[in-house]
Amino acid sequence: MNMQIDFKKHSKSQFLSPEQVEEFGAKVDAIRREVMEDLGEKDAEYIYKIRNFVRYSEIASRGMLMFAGWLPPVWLAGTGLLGISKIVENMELGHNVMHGQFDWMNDPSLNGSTYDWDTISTGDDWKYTHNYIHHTYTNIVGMDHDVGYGLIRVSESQPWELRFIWNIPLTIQLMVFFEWYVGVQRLHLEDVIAYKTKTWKQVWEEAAPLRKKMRRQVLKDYVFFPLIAGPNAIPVFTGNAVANVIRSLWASAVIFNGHFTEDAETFEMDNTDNETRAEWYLRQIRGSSNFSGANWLHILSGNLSHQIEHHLFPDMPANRYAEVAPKIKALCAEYGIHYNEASFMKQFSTVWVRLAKCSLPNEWNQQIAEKTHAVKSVFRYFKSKLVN
Amino acid sequence: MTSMTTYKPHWIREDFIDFVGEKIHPTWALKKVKASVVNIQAVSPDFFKIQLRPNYNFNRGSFQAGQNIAVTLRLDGVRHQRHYSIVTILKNGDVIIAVKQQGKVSRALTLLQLGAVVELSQPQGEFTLLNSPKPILFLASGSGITAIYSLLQKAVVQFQHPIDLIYFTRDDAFHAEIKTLALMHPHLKYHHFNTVEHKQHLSQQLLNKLVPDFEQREIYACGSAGMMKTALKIADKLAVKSSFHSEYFQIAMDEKVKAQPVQFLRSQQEFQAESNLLESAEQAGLRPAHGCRMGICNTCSCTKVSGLVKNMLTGEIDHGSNTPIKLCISQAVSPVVINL
Repeated sequence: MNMQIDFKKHSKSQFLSPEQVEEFGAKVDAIRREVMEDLGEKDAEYIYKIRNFVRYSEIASRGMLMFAGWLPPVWLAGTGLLGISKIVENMELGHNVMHGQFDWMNDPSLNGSTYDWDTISTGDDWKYTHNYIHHTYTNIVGMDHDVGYGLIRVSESQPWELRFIWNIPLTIQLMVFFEWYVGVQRLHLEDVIAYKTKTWKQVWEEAAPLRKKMRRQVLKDYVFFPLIAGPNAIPVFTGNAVANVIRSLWASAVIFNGHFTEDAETFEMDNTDNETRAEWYLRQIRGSSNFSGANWLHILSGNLSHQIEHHLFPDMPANRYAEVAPKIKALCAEYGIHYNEASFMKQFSTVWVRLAKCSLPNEWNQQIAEKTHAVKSVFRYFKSKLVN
Repeated sequence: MTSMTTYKPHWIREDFIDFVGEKIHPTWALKKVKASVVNIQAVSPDFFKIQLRPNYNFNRGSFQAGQNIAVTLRLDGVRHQRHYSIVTILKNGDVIIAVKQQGKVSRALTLLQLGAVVELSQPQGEFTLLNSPKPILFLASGSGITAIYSLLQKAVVQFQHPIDLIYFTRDDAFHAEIKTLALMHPHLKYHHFNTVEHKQHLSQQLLNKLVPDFEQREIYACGSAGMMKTALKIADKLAVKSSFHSEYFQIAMDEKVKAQPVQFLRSQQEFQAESNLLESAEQAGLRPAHGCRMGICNTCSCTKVSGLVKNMLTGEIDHGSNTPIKLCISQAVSPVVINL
C-alpha cells in the first residue's frame, strides 16, 4: 500500500486483495463526498455560463451564415463557430446534464430526466444506451455496446469476423456519421444485418421516437434554417451539414480516446452481479483513459478528457473533475493501479494502432508480433556486430 | 416502455424563448409565471407581507381564498420552492403573500431587493371555504394566520351566520386588521391569545368555554404542528372529522416508521413502500423506468412532488417539494407523492 509504483509504459494494474479493494473504494467515496457536499453557486454559475455560450454562439454563427454566408471567410467562421456551439451543447452541456450532474439545482430546464439535446439521438435512448448500459457495464465485452458499437472490433476479446478486415475504413465513416450511429445505437442494427436475430419490422417499431427526432433535426438544420435564409439558403445548408460533421468527428475522437486507447482494458462477462461498488470503481479506472491539455480542450470535450473521473462519478458536475483528478491519480499510485493518461494526440494514435490490430484475428497478430520480433533481433544482432 | 410511445421532441426550447424574453422585459416568459417584487412590508419583526406583480401567465381568476402559491427562488445555485398563503390579490393583479422568516429561503425572500424577479406557481390548494349553512370556527396559530385571515376576509362578507376565530400568536401579526374586521362585522367573534403575555394552548375545555357549539360548526384550522395535532385529536374524539378542514405547514416526521404510503401522481397508483422506492413500486406491480439500480445512471430520476425521502447513499433527508430524486436510492420517511 505504501509502496510507490513506478509505472512503465505498458505496465498493468497491480492485483489487490479484497480488503485493499474495499479500502480503495472507501477512499474514492471520500473524495466524492468532499466535492458533492461543496456544490453550490459557482457550479450553477458555471453551467449557466456554458449554456449562455451555446446560445450566443448559436445565434452568432447562424446569423453569420444566414446574412453573409455567401462570403467564403464568413462561411468558414460561421460554420466553425456553429460546429463549436454544437460540440459544447452536446458535450459540456447535454451529456453532463443528462447524467443528472446538475439535478441538484432543481432547474427544470437543466434536469437530467427531461433534457433532450440537439442531435439525432433522442435523450431517452441516450440515457439507456449510455447512462445505463455503458456506464454500468463499462467495457464488458458482450454487455457494453460502446465496445465497437456492433460495427467495429476494438478488443481482442471480441470474436473476430471477416467484416472486421474493414475495421479502419469502417471506423472512419463511423466518425463522419457518428451522430447517426449514436442515434440508431439502441436499435442494434448489427443484429439484423450481421447476425439475423432481429427483423427490420422490429427495428421499425422500436424506432418510432427516433424517427420523430430525426425529422426534427433534419427539418431544423436542412429545411427551416436554409428557407428563412432566402438567398443564402445554400451556404446555410452546407454550413449546417459541415458543422454537424465537425461535431461528429470531434465527439467520436473524444469518446475513442476515453475507452479504446492502448491500455484501456476490456472485461469478460463474469461476475458483475456480485461486483461491489469498490470493484466497480476499479473496473471504471482500468477501462478508461484520460487525455491532458489546455482548459479549452477540456470544455470542448465535455470534460471527458477526465474520462476516468467521469466514470467514477458520472453524476458529479463535470467542472469538478479537474480538481478531483490529481487526488484519484495519487490514490491510484498508492495502490499500484494504472492511471491511463497522455496527450490527446498520443492517446488518439494508440486508438488507431489498436483498431488496426483488431482488424486481424488474434493469432495473426501474435504471428506478426513474433516475426517482427525475430526480424528486430536479427537487426539488433547485426547492429551490435557493426558497432563492435 | 412508456417513453417509446409518448416521446415528443420539442421544436424550440422553452428556456431559450424565456432567455430572449427576459432580455426584453425581466418578467416576460412563454409559460412560466414570473413576478417582480413591488413592496415588502413588516407585519412583525420576523413576519413580512410581500407584494408581487406577476406576468400575464398568472391565472388570477382561478384564485380562491385560502389557497397558496409556490415561490421559487435561487439560492447558492439551488432553486428552492416554498409555499406561502395568499393574503389577497389586489385589483391591479398584484399578489400579496405573507412570509415568516423561518429558514434560509424565507429569510432570503424577505431580504429581496425591490424589482427582483421570482417564479410563482398558479394558485393551488384545497383549503378553501365550503358553501355550507353551518356556522364557522377558525383556528389559527403562528404563520397559519395568513391562510385563515384570507378565508376570514371572505367569510365575513359571504356568510351572515356566527363566525368565531381563535388565534394564538406570539407577535400579533394581522391582529389590528382582524380587530377592525370584527368591529365592522358583528357576527365575527375574535378570541385573541398573545402567548407571550400569557401561556395558552388549544384544548377541549377552551373550545367548550369560547365556542360551546363548536361541534356543530365547520372548523378550519391552520397553524403549528402542536396546535394541529391537538385539533385533530379533538375532532377525532368527537367524530366531527367530516367538518374539520386543515392545512399543514409543518409535516411531523417519524424516521422509525417503516412502511409509507407512496402515490404516483400521473399513473394514479398508490402503494406501501418499505425498501427503496423503485423496489417497492415494482413489488406493487408498477414499472417505473430504471437502469443501474445503484444511483449512477439517472434513468429512474423523477420529480418528488411532496413528502420526505432519505437518500440511502448519503443519509440525507430531502424536504423539498418538486425536487428530483432517484427512485433506486430513495426511501420514504413520510407519505410521498411522486410525479410519475
